Amino acid sequence: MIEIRNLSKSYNKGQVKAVDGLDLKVNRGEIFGFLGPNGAGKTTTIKMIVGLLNPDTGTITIDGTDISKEPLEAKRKIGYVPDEPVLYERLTGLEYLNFMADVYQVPASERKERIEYYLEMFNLRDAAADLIKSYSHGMRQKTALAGALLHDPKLWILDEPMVGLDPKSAHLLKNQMREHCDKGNTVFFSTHVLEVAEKLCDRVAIINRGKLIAIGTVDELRHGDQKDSLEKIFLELTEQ
Amino acid sequence: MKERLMTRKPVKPFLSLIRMQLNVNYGISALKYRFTREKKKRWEPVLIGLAIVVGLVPLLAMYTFFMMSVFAGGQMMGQPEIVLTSAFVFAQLVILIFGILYIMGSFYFSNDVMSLVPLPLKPYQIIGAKFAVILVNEYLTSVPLLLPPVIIFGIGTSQGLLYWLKSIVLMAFAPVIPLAVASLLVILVMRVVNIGRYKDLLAIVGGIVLILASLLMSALLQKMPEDPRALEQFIAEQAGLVKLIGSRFPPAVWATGALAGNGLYGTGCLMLYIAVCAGLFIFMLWLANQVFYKALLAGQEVRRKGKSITGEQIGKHVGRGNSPVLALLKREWKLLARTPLYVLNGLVGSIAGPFIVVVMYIVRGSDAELARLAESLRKQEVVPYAALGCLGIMLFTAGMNIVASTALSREGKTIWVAKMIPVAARQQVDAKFLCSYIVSAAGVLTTTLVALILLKLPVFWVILATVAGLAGSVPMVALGLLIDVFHPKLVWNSEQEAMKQNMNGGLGMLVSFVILLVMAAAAAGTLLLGLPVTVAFAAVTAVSVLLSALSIPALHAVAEKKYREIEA
Repeated sequence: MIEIRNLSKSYNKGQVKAVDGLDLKVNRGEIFGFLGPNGAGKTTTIKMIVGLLNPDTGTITIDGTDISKEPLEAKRKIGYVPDEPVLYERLTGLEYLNFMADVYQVPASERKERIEYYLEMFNLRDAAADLIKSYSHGMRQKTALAGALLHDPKLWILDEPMVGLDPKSAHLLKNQMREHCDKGNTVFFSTHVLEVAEKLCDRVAIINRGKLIAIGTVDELRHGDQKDSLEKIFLELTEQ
Repeated sequence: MKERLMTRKPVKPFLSLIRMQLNVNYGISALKYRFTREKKKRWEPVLIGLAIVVGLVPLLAMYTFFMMSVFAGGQMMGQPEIVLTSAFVFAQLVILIFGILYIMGSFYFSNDVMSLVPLPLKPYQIIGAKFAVILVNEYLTSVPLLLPPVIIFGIGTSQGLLYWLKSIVLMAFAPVIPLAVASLLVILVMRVVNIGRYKDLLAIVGGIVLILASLLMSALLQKMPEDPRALEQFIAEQAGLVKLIGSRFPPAVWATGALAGNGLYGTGCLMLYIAVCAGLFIFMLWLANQVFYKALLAGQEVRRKGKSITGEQIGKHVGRGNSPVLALLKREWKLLARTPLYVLNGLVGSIAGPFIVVVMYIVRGSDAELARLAESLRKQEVVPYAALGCLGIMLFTAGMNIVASTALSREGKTIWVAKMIPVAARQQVDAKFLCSYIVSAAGVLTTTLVALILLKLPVFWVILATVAGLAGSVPMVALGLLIDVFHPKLVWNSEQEAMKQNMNGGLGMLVSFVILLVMAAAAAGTLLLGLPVTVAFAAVTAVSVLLSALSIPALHAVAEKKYREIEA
């Protein structure tokens, strides 16, 4: 579903390498966790996958579509939620969702049902008619999630999706992620919560200083030692 | 570096706050970074600075020339100091009118205020620091307006060293009185309106009322005594004209007295001027200390209805959906219309021109002279030229519209949405174009109404002017938008910074005035050739169509390239 080849991005004229020659393949139907310490290059990679940042070198294809050659086609396949969703403060939640449905061209026959579904799921019905300006961080996160998923994209790309969510919403989202993948779709998400990655992900990748340092199922990363937690593996790998 | 940090003396919080505010406001650290690190982009600020200088020089030259004629006229009547009074009145009125919105934005609608409130700072310190930043900014307006007349008078009357020293002091204090008055008005108005559910709407109404009040004041200032004998007496009297012009704005008289007066009178005027500045400033700080937080914190409270929305309501709202361009246009419009500062600077700014005519008309309606003027405009041989004048006002109004030239900048941190959605860049700018064009068209149509209702010009000629005005607005909006798409200001702390403190707004106006000159030249050319006036309207429309045919494809091309390059 996602194929990344030799991806690099640097800042300050090459002095700071945020992502350094990254190669990664995410398969259809899997929940893929993208892990790494602060400043490792997770968000930069994600932003390049969704087209918010331009890579210095390398290619990214989404379901066979090259994001730099056919950006609109690739973007239609993606539902993306950033780590800090800054939304239009002076639109209501419902207006924002309807706007997203319009720009992703969600069929008229389905949009009411889908909007209602996500409002209900994220417990946003009471707030939908209010300006986003009045929302808490968690409510904004849920509104951004609903907006990104409305067009039923094949690929969900979520940057730290659990941050700010209440336990019930986080639980529901995790169920949704699993259901989505069971239908043959893909979820790629970054997280700091290693327990979530351990329980939820089919495969994980660990990135440090812009380079991929480990990839595989959690079992594969344990190298057969079942006592090792993902946290221990993570600490060992990133401190090397 | 560490050593430098260690050895730096601790600065008083207030001074530190002022320094930080100036740094953030003028992007000093960002500029340093650009010049030392991002060397590839260092040409950008230089180019913008150069464009502004090139654009402003002709305007400044025209203004200086005008002031020289005022000085010469004053000299003939034995009152050369009239040039100083006029300049001080004009500069301070300009600062008062523009300062109201500026202060409202900086005090109450900037994002950084809320990060300052939890710090151990008194309200007057926050207001004082913000006032200092605005003061520095206003020198950019006041110095170009005051320096030419001060030099003209100084050289023209062979003044000595003391004159030049006093002029520096007076220019340094010049924006203080109008800004302090504007601050007092804004603090009082916001204390009253920044409450309840409709505070955004009330802030817009409050802003409009304050601007109208300032316009009314400027109209009253220009109102000469109707009795011709009184006017003659003023002219005959020593410094009579100075008193006449400054009678409704005494600080201008004191400034003139301080500069042109000798000995004790001059010093007295200077001391009085400085004392009033200081008094107003201190009073403003005192008032701010009493009520600033109350209004500010009330403004932060966002009321939520918290009413559950039914499926039927969702269905009604969602309807059958919109095309991406229409959806983007609706979003643009809602964000523009719901943000008080955008409404005041954009929407109101664009219809303010014709509105001034209405205010003048109401204030001076009783003038027999004005009634005669309106009547003479309706004479058969004058009507076509009056309609051409209306077209000039329409295009000037459209040129003042900064909605287009800040359209992409206003997206700020939400730019990630524009980058993420599967909508082509050209469609995204089409929506921005339409939204900005609606604002320009509103300005054109306001003039249409003034021409039809107040001036009672014949419908045929008003329609001709309106069509040409609507056509002429197209390239102005397209080029304004192109400027912003080419170099958007996406990092800002307040809506004020996104719109009013955005260089693109000024550049857009300059480009529009160049277009206006080209159109005026086309119209003048047809008239000089002895062709009928209708041809002049056709010429303006033809130039508009030609410029639109060039600017819209250019806008699309730049948008496709720049939207790709922008990183969110």
